[in-house]
Parts: sequence; C-alpha cells; structure tokens
Amino acid sequence: MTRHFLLVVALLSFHSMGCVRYDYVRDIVNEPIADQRFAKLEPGMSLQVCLDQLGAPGYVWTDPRGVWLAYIWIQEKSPRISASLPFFSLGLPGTSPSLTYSRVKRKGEGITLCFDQDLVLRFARKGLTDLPETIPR
Amino acid sequence: MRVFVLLLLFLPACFMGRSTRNEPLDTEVIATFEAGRTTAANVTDALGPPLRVVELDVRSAYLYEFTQTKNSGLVFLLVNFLNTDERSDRTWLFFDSRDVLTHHGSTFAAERTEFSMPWSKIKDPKMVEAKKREAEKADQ
Repeated sequence: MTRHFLLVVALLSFHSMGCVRYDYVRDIVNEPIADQRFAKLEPGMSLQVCLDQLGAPGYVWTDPRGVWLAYIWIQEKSPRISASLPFFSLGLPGTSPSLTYSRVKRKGEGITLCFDQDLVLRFARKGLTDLPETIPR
Repeated sequence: MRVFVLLLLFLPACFMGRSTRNEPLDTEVIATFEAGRTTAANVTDALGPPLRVVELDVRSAYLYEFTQTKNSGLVFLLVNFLNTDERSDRTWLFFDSRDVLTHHGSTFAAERTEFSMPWSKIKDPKMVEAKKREAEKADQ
C-alpha cells in the first residue's frame, strides 16, 4: 500500500514539475469588424468616412499601390500539449528538451483597405494577404 | 495524512492578472481635435510624443495607443485553462504636408477586456455599448 502511494505521489510530482501538460488556451486580441460594416465599404469613399465606420486601424503603411490600412484581430481557441524534461536543462548535453505541439497555429484575421494618393478608397479586402513582410508599424 | 497530501496535489488554483501598455488616452482631449485646424504641434502638446509616426509620401500619420490585457486561468495538475484578452484604445491622426490634421479615427475598446474562461462567451461590443447607454439613461 505504501509502495503504491509513493508511486502515485512520484508520478504526480513528475507531472506537477510541468513535464507533461495539457493547456486549453483562448487568445483574444482586438475586436473583429462585423461583416455588415465591411459590406458598407465601397470604392470612392473618403478615408474619413471609412475611419468613422471602422474606427482606428491596427496598422497604416504605404507602398507604390497607395496608402493601406489594416484591421486585425485574433479570437482563437487552441489546445496545446506540452512535454519537457527539466533535468536536461541542468547542464546535461543536448538542446532544449521542451517539445510543444500546437494543434492550432496562432493566426490573425482581418481586413485591408487600399487608398489612392488622394486618400480615396480603391478597394477593401478580407484577409491579410496584402500585409507586407515586416510588421508595418 | 495520505489523503491530505493527495488532496493537496489535486487542488486547483486560479489566477488573474492585468497589465497595460502606454498611457491611457484622454478622450476629451482627442474630441477637441478638428480637421483643418489642429496641427501636429497641437497634438503633441496635448498628448505627448506619438507611439508611431508613419510617413505617407508628403503626408504623415501619428498613432497613439493604450493597451490593456487581462489574463485569467484555472490550473489543475495536468490540465490548465487559460484566457488572454487584449484590447486597445487607439487613435490615428493623419496630417498633410503642412502638418495640419486632415483625418482622424479612434477606437476605444480597452475597457471591454474581461477576465473570463476559454469557454465563456465573448461579449458583443455593440451589446456592451447598448447596455452602457441604457444605464446612462436610467441614471438621468
């Protein structure tokens, strides 16, 4: 009985050190732009009308096509299983022993708006394919 | 004793944490900005240096942003439930080549961050605003 008890305590202690863990994580960043508001956008609208409808964008940048605004949000639920062996970090050989599996990759959603040099809306798109390589802010 | 130790190992814990980035935006000051009149100097005098300045050919745009994050979680021995809610008060101000304000847009969402669990519903901002307006009317 005592042996079984010690075994249970040892196993639980092993887990409590963070060796194996299951995290269910929800990340919320910013608030989404409702479809109804996006649907109201039309080429030819002024920048001010768009700002009044959508509020302040997350990003503003320019490129040869014009001036861009991006509205980005994240509402993601992500189950994660983590496994690590802490004793490897005590100077024993090998790289970082932590191994994390993320079933759902962290992913932003959003819309982009492109304006001409007079700040008149050329087009608005769902998705973030127009975002430049580097974070434009 | 054994039961106590086992209970202790299985007891869950919860945590809540709140953090902010940058100074809160003064909505009353921002409301006084007027396109065609307010200059970039007026803005920086009132709000301080912007978080970001973006050059847009001959124009420029200033960003002011205050972000609030609320983290909450329920921690069991093997399973953890974690929630992060990060929203911002943000204003973009667009200036022409003479540094006169031409356009501006603001979003105030930082106060809507919540301590919640991953399975709880995210409140619709429109509903929150509507309830706030109702409460204000009731107060009057």
